[in-house]
Amino acid sequence: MAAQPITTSSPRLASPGVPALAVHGLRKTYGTFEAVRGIDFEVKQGEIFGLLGPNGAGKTTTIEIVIGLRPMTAGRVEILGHDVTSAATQARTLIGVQLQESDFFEHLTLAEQLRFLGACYGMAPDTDALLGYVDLGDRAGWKLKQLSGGQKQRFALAASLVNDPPVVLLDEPSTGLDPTARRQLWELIRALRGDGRTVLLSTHYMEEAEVLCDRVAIMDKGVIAAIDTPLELIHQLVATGFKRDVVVRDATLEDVFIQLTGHGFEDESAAELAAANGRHGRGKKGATS
Amino acid sequence: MTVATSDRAATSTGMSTARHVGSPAWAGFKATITNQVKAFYREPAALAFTLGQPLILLLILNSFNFKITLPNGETRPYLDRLLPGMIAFNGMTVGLNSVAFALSRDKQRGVLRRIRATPVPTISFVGGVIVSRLIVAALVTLITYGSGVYLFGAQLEGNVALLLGLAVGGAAVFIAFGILMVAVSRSEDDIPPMFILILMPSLLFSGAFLDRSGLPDWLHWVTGGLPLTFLTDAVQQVANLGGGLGDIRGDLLGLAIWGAVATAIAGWRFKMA
Ligand SMILES: Nc1ncnc2c1ncn2[C@@H]1O[C@H](COP(=O)(O)OP(=O)(O)OP(=O)(O)O)[C@@H](O)[C@H]1O
Ligand SMILES: [Mg+2]
Repeated sequence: MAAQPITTSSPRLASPGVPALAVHGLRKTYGTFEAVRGIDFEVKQGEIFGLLGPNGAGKTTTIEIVIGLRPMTAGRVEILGHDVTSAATQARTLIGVQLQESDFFEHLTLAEQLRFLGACYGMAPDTDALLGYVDLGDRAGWKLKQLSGGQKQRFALAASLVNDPPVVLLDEPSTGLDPTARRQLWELIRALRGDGRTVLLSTHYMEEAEVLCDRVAIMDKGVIAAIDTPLELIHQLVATGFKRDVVVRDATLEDVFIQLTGHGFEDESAAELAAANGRHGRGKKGATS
Repeated sequence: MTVATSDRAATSTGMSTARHVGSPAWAGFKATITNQVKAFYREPAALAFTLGQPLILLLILNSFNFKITLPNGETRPYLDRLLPGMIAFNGMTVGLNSVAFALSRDKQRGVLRRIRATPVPTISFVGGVIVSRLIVAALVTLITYGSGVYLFGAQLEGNVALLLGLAVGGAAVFIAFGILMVAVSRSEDDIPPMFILILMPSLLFSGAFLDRSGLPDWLHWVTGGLPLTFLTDAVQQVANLGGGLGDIRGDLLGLAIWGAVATAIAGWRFKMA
């Protein structure tokens, strides 16, 4: 495999011409149902690329084909020039992933989980740095079940970096996060781009796509309806004469929420209060520390 | 609009998150063993069931204070016949129980999917699981043997190393069955019925707890092919009659066939996701 210096912190732009991810003519059928109907797109090295689309659009299917968790029906997918079918192991080595439906061992501490996953790549991750990066530095000895939903999401993000990957795939990383936590996640993801990593993420939040992603693909019913920068897509829509039929206000309810509850990850008890008032009434949290 | 930003610089994470330590196959294999052994001793239920059950069974069954006659005509306390049976039976429960239930749960919860997304070969992960259970089987055998002989005063003949080897080898066969169960199950819920299906005839007809000599001919013949019957007979031959490898060739062959068949089907059907 081409020498990808995946052991250093800002290596990524090794062969600049090669796309980080290239998807050509990708199709996927489940029985007779065609979930992905021949899509093409390329993600450039060093960009944050958003995969948008309603439930069932085929985002997870696409991401899991890239990582090799599901076989494709037709098409070709390459990670930094490595075919994910014929060179699956090399391709996986280059990818960090946060899956929509997966879990971690329940009996291991956060640090042990990261070490175990890292070993599965033949790597020894710097668990302190990883947990510190997602503000879980003081919870290295905690178990997963002691974390809140948002903390689990952050942990999953840290877990996607155990192999110091040049390409990071995040399937709905901000689902279940409160607005403040979501904005902080954006900072974390931007920092990944700052390292020189490439990020592909799926999301249902258009604001997130707009402010975070360099380019987005809008997917619906297994086809890509548009690919461009968020701004360009908006300009195109405006050019058709489109106008929002809402009263423009100086603030939104989301702004109110952030004003009232906005604080860092660090202030966990306040974050929990916010979470309790919000939607994710997750299971109880252990009190170890 | 106000965008809350953390005080961390958004420019880069500034970290090298990992360094190479070896191949995914080997590093993943070793890490799986460590991880699975930890899982075992950190799970009070598994620990109590696997280590406590033999002791409790010994305590209860030893209170039946009667004598039995060995195949060589000797009269002995029931305990002397029970202990080898328990050593064989433990091999089965460690193999079936701790593999099938834990692995199917991890599969259902998506833990195995997450591992599948890494370059570690499935065989490394499964190999690590197998080795961890063999360690547990050896441990349980030593505890059962030790407590039976030194606490309860059982009198066993035979070579302890050979006994240990038999118990661990027998466990390997049942570990293959455990993985096979996960491989052919559609969900976690399929495991208990399959477990009972193997457990019940083994418990009743293998000779581990009840003497097989009273069985009707046809039932004796049919259940003579059960994997636990082979294993129990082998352990009893060694522990009660001081037999060696030559005396248990038939049993070993039977176990090897079961093990090979289970391994072949499990290897063919097992998927991480
Ligand atoms: N294993 C499967 N078997 C059959 N159909 C499937 C399977 N997985 C997904 N599908 C179907 O494929 C389509 C795309 O699913 P996918 O999970 O990729 O959507 P998604 O864009 O990730 O949606 P969401 O936003 O809800 O996560 C859906 O209609 C779904 O029902
Ligand atoms: Mg999805």
